[in-house]
Parts: sequence; C-alpha cells; structure tokens
Amino acid sequence: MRRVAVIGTGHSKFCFNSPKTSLEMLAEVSLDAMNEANITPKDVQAINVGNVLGPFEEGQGMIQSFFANDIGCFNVAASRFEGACASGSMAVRDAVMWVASGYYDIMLVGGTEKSTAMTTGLATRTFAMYGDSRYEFPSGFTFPAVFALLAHLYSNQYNIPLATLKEQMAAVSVQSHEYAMKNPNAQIQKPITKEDVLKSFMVSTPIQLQDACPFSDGAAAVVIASEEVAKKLVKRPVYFAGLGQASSGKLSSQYKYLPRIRARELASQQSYRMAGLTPQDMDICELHDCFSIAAMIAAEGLGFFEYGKSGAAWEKGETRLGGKIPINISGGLKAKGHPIGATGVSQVYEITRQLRGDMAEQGRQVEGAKYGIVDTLGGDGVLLSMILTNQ
Amino acid sequence: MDYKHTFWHKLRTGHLWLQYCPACARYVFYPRERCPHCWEAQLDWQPLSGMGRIYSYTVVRVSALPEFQPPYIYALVELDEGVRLATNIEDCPLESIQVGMPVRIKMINREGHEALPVFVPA
Ligand SMILES: [Zn+2]
Repeated sequence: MRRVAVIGTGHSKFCFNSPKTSLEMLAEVSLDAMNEANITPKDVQAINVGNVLGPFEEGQGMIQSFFANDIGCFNVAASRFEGACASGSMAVRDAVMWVASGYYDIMLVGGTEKSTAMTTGLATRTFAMYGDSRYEFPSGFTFPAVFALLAHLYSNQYNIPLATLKEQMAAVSVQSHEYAMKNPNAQIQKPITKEDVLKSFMVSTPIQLQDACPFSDGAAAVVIASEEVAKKLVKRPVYFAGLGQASSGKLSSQYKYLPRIRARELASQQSYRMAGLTPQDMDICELHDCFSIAAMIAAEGLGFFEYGKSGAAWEKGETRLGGKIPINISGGLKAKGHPIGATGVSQVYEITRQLRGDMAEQGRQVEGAKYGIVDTLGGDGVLLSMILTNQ
Repeated sequence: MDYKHTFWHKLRTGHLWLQYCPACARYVFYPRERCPHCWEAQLDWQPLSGMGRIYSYTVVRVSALPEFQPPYIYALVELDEGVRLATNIEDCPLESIQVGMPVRIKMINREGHEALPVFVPA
C-alpha cells in the first residue's frame, strides 16, 4: 500500500441554525480544501461524503451526487457514508484505502450536517434510530440515557462516588469550553465553571445539560492524495500512519466489557499496530466527547489512562496543552459543536492543522507534535481510529 | 422461522421466552437464525425465571419521544440466566433505584406491544 496524505483542509464555523444548506456549507469548505491543496475540481477523481440525517433535515437524500455536480467535479464517483456520528471518519478511512491501493491518486472527502433544521421532537426521534429499533427502542432509548447508564456503571465498577464522578465530568466540559474560545470555528464561545455544569438541568441522571454536546450545523472537508502526488502539490503533507474500524452490537449485548467500549479498543489497536506506535507516542488527540463521560471512557479505551482514572487526569490538567496527552484542544464535540456527519472530518482537519503547526496564532498549538490520533464513535456501534503524522 | 415475531408473541404467556442453544448451553438474546457463538441451527425456546438485577440505569428527565413521558427509568437488567436486556423499571421510587437492585419481570401493555417486559423491584 502507498502512503496517503492530507493535502488540503476546509472547515466551516459550527453553529446553531446555519442560514446555509448542508450542500452549501460542504461546497464552501471543499473549495477551501481544494485551494489549499493547489488543485481544481478536475483533479478530483472521487468523492466521499459523510452525511447522516439529510433526508430528515432537508428532505435531501443522495447529497453526494448533487454535491459533486455543484462544485464542478462532474460525473466522478461519489459515495455517501452513514455510520451515525462516525460517518465522516468512515468516509475518510475509506478514501485513504482507495488512494493507498493505487486506484485513485486524489480524493475529496467531506462531511456535512444540518441537525438544527429538525424540530426537537424529530431530532430526538431520528437520533433514537441509532439504537436497536427492535429490542431497545420500546424501552425509551435516547443517547443521553445510554451514556447516563454508562456513567452509573462507571461509578459502580471503578468505585468512584457519584459526586466525585460528577465533578470529574464537569472538569471535562470546563476544559472544552476554554479551548473552544480559542477556536474561531467553535460553536460555543463562552467559558463555563464547574458550578455552571452542576447547576444545569438534569437530562438523564446523572447527565446534565452541560455534560452534553449541542446540536450543530456545519461542514468540514479534506483533500487526500498519494505521497508522490502530495509532495508535488504542497509543502507540508500530513500522512495517515494507522487506520482502524470496528463495530459493536446493541448496547445490551456488549455485556462483557461495559462501560468500556470493546470495539473502540479493537479499532485503536488496529491503528496503533498499523502505525507501529503506542499510546505513549501520541502528541495530541481528538476524541469523541458527545458526553463528558464518553470522553473519559474514550481516553481510557485509547490507552492514555488506566480504567477509572481519566477523570482525575482531566482534573489534574494532564489533558491540557503541555499535559501528558492534550485532548480536544479544538473544544471537542462539547464546545466546538457536533454536526454529526461532519465531525470525523473536522477531527482530521484539527489533527492535520496541529501537525502542520498552524494553530500557533490561535494560541492552541501543541509544540513539536509529530503524531496525532482521531477517535470517533457512531451511535454505540461504529468505532473509528486514525493516526496521522508529519514524519 | 420468524423469530422476531415469535419473541414478541411468546411474551403474551406472561413469561419471557428466549432462544437456548443446546450445543453450547447458552441463552441467545436477541433472537436470531443461529447461535452466534457456535453457529448451531437448532435453537430451543425456553421460558426464563423473570428474576434479575439492575446492571445499570438512568432516570430520564427530558425526552421528546411521545411514547415516553419523563421521568421514566431506562435500565439494563441482567437476568439470573445471564442475559441482559434494555428495559424500564416501574413501580419503583426514583430515589431508591440502585445498581445491583433485585428485580422481577412484569408484562405491560404499551402502544404497539400487547405484552412488553418491564421490571419491578423484587
Ligand atoms: Zn451455541
């Protein structure tokens, strides 16, 4: 397989109630990514798009073909990926394999979502479609409920009193808001305190509003190319070093490992093995913090902290810039925002720019970063892991 | 065999019936064509005790699902036979619920389901 690089990136501001359609947001960031890559639409050989609920949000299915035509990539192969919140990462991983195989040299990968076009009722209904509709939906499955249940389990299995766990969870949200304020693309641009988190309304015990990411609109795109092509087009390509993907069944059947997410551990082991690296080699991480407890579980599953210890790590600042492993220096899903189809591509954008050293002017550069890892969770069933490097 | 239909239909007896794999001596939940562990094709249906414990839970305070008026308890219950299922806990004061609490099955009638298994404190 050939080495594959990110050679161009684009990212919209994530927001509530974007005036643009999913397609317009995606077109705009894709043109940015192509400009940065020094290519034109004629150079794009195929397109992958992550988009989850387009049919419900805007009555628009099959967005990928309209998108290809819209930006002047006439008649190229365009595919849409749907793996709930991991759709964008699936689109990236798949494209990397096409280019690695030699089938294509240059691909455009985007993700877009306009979640806030749905009413709260429709949004709740459609998000609940990502639980098992046959055996779990009849009991009132919601995503906050799933992670709330994992939080109680986490408290119980690791002997952390719930009050202590709640403080640790709050520390995760506080850090994300702080870094989002340095990220002009972030949806939420205001600081919060631990007290704000603990005072926010209860969604599903023990998860409160400020333990959860917002509904978001937004898009992100990257251009990827083979190493040979990348070196001709740009000065600082960032390479994919490892890829992993795994899946799990419905929550109640994942019984041997909960609150750990076994599929995440398998996916990340695949990417570490492919890269020949370990968690200790990582300089920066963007992980899937749809809820603060989800961030803690993810950081442990990726091998950064022992089980039951990541909350304390957040509280001690080990996840901050200059800490043991800087995590979600973008603000994460919690504060950067979570337009579900775009999230994985946004994470790749973040890590790429960190590895290019582009974040200094925003005051959130991980100095000398060589290796970064992306972790994305779709529903509780699609797990993606990607390691990138500037080496 | 229509195993999904069989699962819901058998609940009308007042008991939870699950597939059992005689080859590897394990219950299979959710129901399916073959045992996912050993690929055995001949699975039996057996009634379960209906007794178990709360593996974990949450009190849902905000939900826009029209069938579910908050607050309600969403839980994973671990049955004595070793199977876990996603369900609701009813007839239980919200403050008293805990991980590990013993529960027993109760069939209720809820829109779209003539008999739906929920659990109550044992
Ligand atoms: Zn078997």
